[in-house]
Amino acid sequence: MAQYEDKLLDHAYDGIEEYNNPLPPWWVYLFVITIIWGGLYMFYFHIADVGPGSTDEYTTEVRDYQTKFASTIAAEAGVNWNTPNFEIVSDKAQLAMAKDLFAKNCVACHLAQGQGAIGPNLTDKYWIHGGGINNIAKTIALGVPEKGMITWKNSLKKTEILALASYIISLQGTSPPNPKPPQGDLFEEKK
Amino acid sequence: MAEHSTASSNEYQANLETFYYDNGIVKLFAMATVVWGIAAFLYGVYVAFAIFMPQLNFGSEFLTFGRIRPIHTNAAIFAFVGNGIFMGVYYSLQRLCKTRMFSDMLGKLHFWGWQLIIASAAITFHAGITTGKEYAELEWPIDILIAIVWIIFGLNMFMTILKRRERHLYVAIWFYIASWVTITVLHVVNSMELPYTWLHSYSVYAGVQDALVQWWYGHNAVAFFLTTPYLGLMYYFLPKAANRPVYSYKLSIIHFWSLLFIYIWAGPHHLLYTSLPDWAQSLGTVFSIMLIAPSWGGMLNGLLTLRGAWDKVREDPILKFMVVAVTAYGMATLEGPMLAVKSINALSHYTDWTIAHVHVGVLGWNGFLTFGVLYWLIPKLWNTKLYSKKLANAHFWIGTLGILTYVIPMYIAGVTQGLMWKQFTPEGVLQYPNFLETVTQILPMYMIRATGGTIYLVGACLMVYNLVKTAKQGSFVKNEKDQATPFPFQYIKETGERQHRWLERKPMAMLFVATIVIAIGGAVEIIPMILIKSNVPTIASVKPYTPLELYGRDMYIREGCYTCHSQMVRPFRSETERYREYSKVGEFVYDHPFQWGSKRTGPDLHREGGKYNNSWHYWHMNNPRDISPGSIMPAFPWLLTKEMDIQSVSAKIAAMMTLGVPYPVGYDKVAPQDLKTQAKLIATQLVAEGVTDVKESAEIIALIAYLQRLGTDIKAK
Ligand code: HEC
Ligand code: HEC
Repeated sequence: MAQYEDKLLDHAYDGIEEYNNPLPPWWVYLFVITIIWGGLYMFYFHIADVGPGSTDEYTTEVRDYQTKFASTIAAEAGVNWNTPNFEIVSDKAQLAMAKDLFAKNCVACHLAQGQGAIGPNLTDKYWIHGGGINNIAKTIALGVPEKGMITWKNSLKKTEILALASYIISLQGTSPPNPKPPQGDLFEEKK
Repeated sequence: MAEHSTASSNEYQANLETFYYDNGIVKLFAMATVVWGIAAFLYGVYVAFAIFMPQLNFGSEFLTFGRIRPIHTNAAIFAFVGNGIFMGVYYSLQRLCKTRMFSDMLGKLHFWGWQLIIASAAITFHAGITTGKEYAELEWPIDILIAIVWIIFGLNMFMTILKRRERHLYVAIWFYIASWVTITVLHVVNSMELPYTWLHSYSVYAGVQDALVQWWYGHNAVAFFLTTPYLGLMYYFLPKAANRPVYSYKLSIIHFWSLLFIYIWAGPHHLLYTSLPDWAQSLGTVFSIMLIAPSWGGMLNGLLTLRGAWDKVREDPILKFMVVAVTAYGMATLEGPMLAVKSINALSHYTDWTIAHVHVGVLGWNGFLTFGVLYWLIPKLWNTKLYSKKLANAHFWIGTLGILTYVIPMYIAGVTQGLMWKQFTPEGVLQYPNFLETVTQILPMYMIRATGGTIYLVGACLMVYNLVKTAKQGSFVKNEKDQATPFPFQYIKETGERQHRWLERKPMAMLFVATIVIAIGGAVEIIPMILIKSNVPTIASVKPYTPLELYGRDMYIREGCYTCHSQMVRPFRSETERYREYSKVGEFVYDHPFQWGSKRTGPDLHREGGKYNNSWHYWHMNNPRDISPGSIMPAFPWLLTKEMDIQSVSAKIAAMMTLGVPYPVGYDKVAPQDLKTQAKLIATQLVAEGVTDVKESAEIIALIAYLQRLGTDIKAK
């Protein structure tokens, strides 16, 4: 900017003088470019209507997900939670993962050791919706929304739900402190 | 240089007049600036700690986070910066106009009126009396008081300008005029509310319209309260302190008018990816980008004015404060437009990134400029030298350290949490489905931030000491003598007078043109949103709130839940997975005021209805940590015992009916009965879920009713 000679204007306000310097050229370019960009943006998205709107972006995002995970989605959708026929999981890593999931998602209502608070005690032999891997997995997956138990199949995968159910079964008889009194009916696994 | 002042009027030397500047009013505003500044910083430090130590409210509703945070924001903006503006205007305007203020009396009314507003703000906010619209939380009687005091200020300012002895208005005054008229318009339009008791009202706008008006206001409060008046101050105090001419008069003109015109359009950038129609969002984006150059014009003119004075800057703490202030202004006004780009906003919005951004602005630009001005002004007013330059230098470094320690962790927190919200596992499900996990992750950042705020506060305390000592060693000049010649009635045109030069000697014309220029953007955005029906497609299943739900909604506003929770699910899969169906504009048509929120310290609540059972909410509100271990949400135990105020219910419903909410005719009369019936039902459910000692008349019942209603009007898949 050194090339401009500072010329004082012949006015001053309370001693404050002003130079008659021109606008810095790069500043002018910046301004013009942003204005042109603004015009193009409005043209692209609204006048010509080529660019995607907020909800178009969403539709695309969902479609991409559905294509990419088509097989998983199909597999999950294919699970019949109402008449399931599952095997209990005994794999250590799976159970460890389930323990994590339980701590993240379930302790709010069932407390850290499953002794129950808002939700029932999960460590006793009494079940409102039936014990055993199939019943428990079903309760977790479909939830009991009207009673405050969340439908988990929307946010957890089948393997996770099975692992959780198996983890809960592993809590049977652990008798943690301050358990919630039994609710539901006594359930004995038919061998 | 000072002798140069009225070059064109040498020939009228004969009628040199002697007059006195009123420094008394400047002193009052200066003291208020300092006192409220410390108060605002104290409240800030308090909320900064309270956010990660929820027990800091000591179980008192008057100290709960949701009520204190608005006190902090309002104090920083309207008490600290507000008084700072008036201090600077009353000092500089008299000198730039070569006259005393028009009326000492009006000045006093203005001063005490403004302090009264601040005091009533503090009291009502502690008491939970709020409109729930950010930075416009004050209730209607105070809104009216603001309007009156603001007009008194305007009157005093314009009468002073009219009796000036300097024919042309200096750029600082252009900024004062434009700021005054814009704030008037913003305040009046956004505060349109229908009172239903002496202290309560509903916004006349609902849903998306309210959101648009509110953020047109909110954004331009930043523009015309925190920015343009301070640019005016910069144009006076920076060349004064540096003793250098302003870099470019031309740049002043161009950046002044372009700033006025463009700023007003940018409000919708606070609503990107919300239910606001796309065309309005896009206007917010493009006008924000176009704002970069006009904003930088101010920064350039400030910084380039210091060319050749950099050796002085190294010496002088006043100039140092000003340089950092102007630089912070430049950074914030580049960052702002970046945050207005939709793809960046998708990450930054609702996170602490926004908090970092505003604090660069307020702590850096407003705070540091105010400190610089105070260090320059107080010795002048008391006719002495600054007590300790060393202390001022220390303040500068401590303040800078404070800002850095504040904003860096907030940037990290914002980006970290934003990314965590969006993170999917390789299997395509949310990596962090539990919101709380994304909160606990950034708690250390909150702790560092609180330290940063404290450091900044310590610096400000050093300043108070230094200024008090300065005043003590000098003697206050209440009336400062000056001399000038009045300009003759007849104007001999400058040869080749440009149009702008003409405008500069016609204050009323300048006011008029400025009004037009700022009116355009707002009008183009707001009027269609209110008049054109297709902007808000109606949804038949969306019904007005029941009286109990409405009561709960007012509690939600009263307790400031909106300071931590949004009610706006954006159309991203990461949000629809977490919160379900994204929000539709038609769902908010009965929301007077809207509660979309701007910050997610807790999860979005728009689809909260039916997610948990009633007792979950009951225990969660009683103490969130019983239900969500590690939660930082404050406990609201008083809601479990406080009785509902059934008296006001009819008036609430009647007000809503006046605003066009379609309750059946005469419903306001039966509403209290309906409220009791619904309350009984919820109480019974709570008992069935095992809650003992539920009171049917307890406020918690209403809040639960509201939370269970949220987002349930449309069937989510
Ligand atoms: C919002 C609170 C809440 C959360 C979170 C929650 N539950 Fe529940 N849960 C309940 C309630 C309430 C019931 C009882 C439903 C009833 O009464 O029919 C229940 C019932 C159950 C049952 C059936 C118990 C029985 O007696 O039949 C199982 C199993 C269960 N939950 C597992 C889980 C798992 C696993 C998670 C975490 C993935 C979880 N819950 C998270 C509230 C919750
Ligand atoms: C200081 C910030 C803060 C304030 C103020 C606040 N909350 Fe929260 N809220 C949180 C956080 C963090 C969570 C997540 C952890 C938890 O469940 O407690 C949360 C969770 C919630 C949830 C559970 C959401 C879900 O789906 O899991 C509800 C409901 C809720 N808050 C309601 C309220 C209400 C009503 C108010 C006002 C009376 C309020 N909050 C005030 C921070 C806050």
